[in-house]
Amino acid sequence: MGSILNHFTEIASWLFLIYGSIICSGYLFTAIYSLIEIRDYKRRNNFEDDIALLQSLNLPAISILAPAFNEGLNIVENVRSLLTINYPSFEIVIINDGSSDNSLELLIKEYDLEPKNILYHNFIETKEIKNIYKSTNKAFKNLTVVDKKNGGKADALNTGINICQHNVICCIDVDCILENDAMLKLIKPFLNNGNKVIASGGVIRVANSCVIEDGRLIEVKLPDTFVARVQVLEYFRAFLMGRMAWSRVDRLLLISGAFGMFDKQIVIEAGGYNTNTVGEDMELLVRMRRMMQERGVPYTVGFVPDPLCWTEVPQTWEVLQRQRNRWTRGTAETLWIHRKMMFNPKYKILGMLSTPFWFFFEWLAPLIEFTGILFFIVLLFMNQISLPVFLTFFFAVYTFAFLFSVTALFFEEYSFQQYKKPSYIFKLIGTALLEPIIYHPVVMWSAVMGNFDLLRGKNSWGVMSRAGLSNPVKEKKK
Amino acid sequence: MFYMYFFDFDSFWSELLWIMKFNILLSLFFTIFAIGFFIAIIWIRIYKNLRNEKKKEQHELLIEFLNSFLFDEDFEKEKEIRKFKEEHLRSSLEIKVTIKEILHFHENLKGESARELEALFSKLGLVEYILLDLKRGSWYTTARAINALSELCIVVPDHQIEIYLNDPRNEVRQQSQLYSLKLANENPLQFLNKTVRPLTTWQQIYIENALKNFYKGPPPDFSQWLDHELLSVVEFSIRMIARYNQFEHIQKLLPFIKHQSDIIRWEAINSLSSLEYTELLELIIPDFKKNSRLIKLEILEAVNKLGSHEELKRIGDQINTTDWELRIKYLNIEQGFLPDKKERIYSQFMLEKQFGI
Repeated sequence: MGSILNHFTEIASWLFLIYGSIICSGYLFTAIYSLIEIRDYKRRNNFEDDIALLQSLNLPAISILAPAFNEGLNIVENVRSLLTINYPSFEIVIINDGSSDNSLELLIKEYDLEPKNILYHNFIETKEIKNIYKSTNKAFKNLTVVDKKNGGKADALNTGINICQHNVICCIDVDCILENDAMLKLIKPFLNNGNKVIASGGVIRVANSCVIEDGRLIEVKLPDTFVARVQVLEYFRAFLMGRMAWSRVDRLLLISGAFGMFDKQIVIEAGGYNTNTVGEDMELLVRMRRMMQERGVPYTVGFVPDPLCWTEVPQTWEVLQRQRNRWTRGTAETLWIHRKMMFNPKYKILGMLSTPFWFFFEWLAPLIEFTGILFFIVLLFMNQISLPVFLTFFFAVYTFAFLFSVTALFFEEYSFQQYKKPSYIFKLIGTALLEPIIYHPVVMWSAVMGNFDLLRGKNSWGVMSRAGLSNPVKEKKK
Repeated sequence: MFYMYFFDFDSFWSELLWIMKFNILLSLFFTIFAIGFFIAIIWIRIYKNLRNEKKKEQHELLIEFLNSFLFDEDFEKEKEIRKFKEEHLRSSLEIKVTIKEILHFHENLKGESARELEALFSKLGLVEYILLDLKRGSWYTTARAINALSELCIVVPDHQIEIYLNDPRNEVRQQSQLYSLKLANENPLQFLNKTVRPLTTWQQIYIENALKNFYKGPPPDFSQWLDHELLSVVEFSIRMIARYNQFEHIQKLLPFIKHQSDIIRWEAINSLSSLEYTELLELIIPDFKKNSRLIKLEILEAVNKLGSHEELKRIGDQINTTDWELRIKYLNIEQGFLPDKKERIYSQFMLEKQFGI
């Protein structure tokens, strides 16, 4: 019996080790690819002249779609900020997704809105539209507000797609802070490519504690809370390392729901956002890619590493757990819906590399890690753990996690260096040292619970309360 | 000896299990790398700060120098140029900042001052530096060098730039196109004759901008590229014929409304309607049904611009009831033609939609 147990323990240990080593190698490759891509991007964008672009009649008009649910606190300012974006031709479609607060009344009052009979068709099925509003004030002629029954973010975006006028759509979170030239940069992949471009995404940055004035980012600051600060590092890792690398091989599977640009026709042909998943952003892009691949049409998905969009991330453990729980469910649902692609050579790199990577290293990783911890506890009870071996292994894992974060920080310093104060570097290093033992277990647990909730059939977003961004002007007025 | 008494590393290490040794070595490896990256971060920070300081200093020096050079009549130009070159153009950074600053100044100046800046650029020996950059071989130094040459209108032998017109990198191609255009006295788009790689929309935007804002000669005859092998060049030429109101080429555009490529057909219809060629409708309405959705939408747009409700009605029967995008476009145009019936058209549409007609 003892010998069987020993064999089992040894095999399991080796399996965990092999899995860990593959993940580490994956991270190493993404880091190398990202570095090359960031360097190339910086070199490529040395001679841009925004004025030439702003004067051009050749830039396609864009429809900016922003769903809003109970955003009464900031919606008027957020819309005003959107209206001042630098782009020659655009419309803004705010979709009030059945808010129970006074969002709609505030918009009507502030922007002189009145109901208009606008012809539209439900290319994608959505919940009922109650009314469509346009402004009587010519200054806001490119603003449309749609009031509809509550159906969730995906449904609201689909409504926007049905209503909007232009062929290129940009889906954003209404409370996002966009850089002035965000649209000019995000449209570039659509125009500077030989292949059909179906979507392009940008880097999302953490806006907590930053100074925001009239919907514009004035000063970049490091978040005050540990939870938000770790997410700065996480976003560096996810965007500057992960997505940059995938974009290098043009096999990006996720464009953040907070900020992404799409070819409307392709979105409609793919069926729009899926309202039955909480990971609608990833699911849409995977479906669009799958459709293009099945049609055999050459296509591309662009990615812009410039910090173009700033968003508020969860400040409390509770909200963070709900968010990560949802992200896990979204990933699992997407992978399940498109399971046919997995290891299917018909889908080339997408089937043979991208989806397996997401399956093994994004969705499965927390589950394997959790199983590893359970395995460790069992062995501990059975007195099968050698403390010195455990300690050396733990230290190896810990130093790798730290190295990974420091590498991401290095990428940020090398590329965009948004956190200018020297003290921020030390704070981020301190955060990176604490992350593996304080933050990571919580995120892993949320992912495990996400899978559990998925099995239980949970399909809601959960309450994502926000603390609000810092706005000195507003605070002064108060 | 004292140390050895308390801790004998060799025996400690040899007694460790191999897995522990492996873990320790990995930890050491990761830690060394992490420290390495940390040092690199600090180094980058210090390097960038020092570089920014240096840039700021050079920038201030240059502003003073350039202002005196351009606007101070008592300024001893030759002597000061020599002095500046000897004292402030020693490092690569100083040279790069100087080039950038002169380019920036040049952007905001016209006429005599701009010419003087171009001469100064040459006297400071920066042309040689740029030419070295051009020959350096990497695509980004080449693109940067061509950009500086074109911004400052520095003429180099044609063959030195022409070889980049069909470079595999978009950026190099774009800079060489802009160079050829900005330095041309006539026929600024001659480079199109030598172009064998498609023009991206992005490149077309910048070419159009340079044509409007930098090229001073007479506008080129865009029809000369209507039979170019590249569809993107044909597309660009059709568009430019409309932008530059070259009405004399309308007849040459007509065959393109039956071109096999949708993009070219779309561009031809769009340009002809911009040129207000009213006969266009007679040519496109009868064939409406044979076209793709993209062209049908453009035909409707042309009717909106050039036609009347009567002409629109000729299309009405050709639109499939389930083609909602076309129907909506049609009805929107109809509402424009019949403003007093706007509400009725809307109600009718909603009713049809409700009952799936």
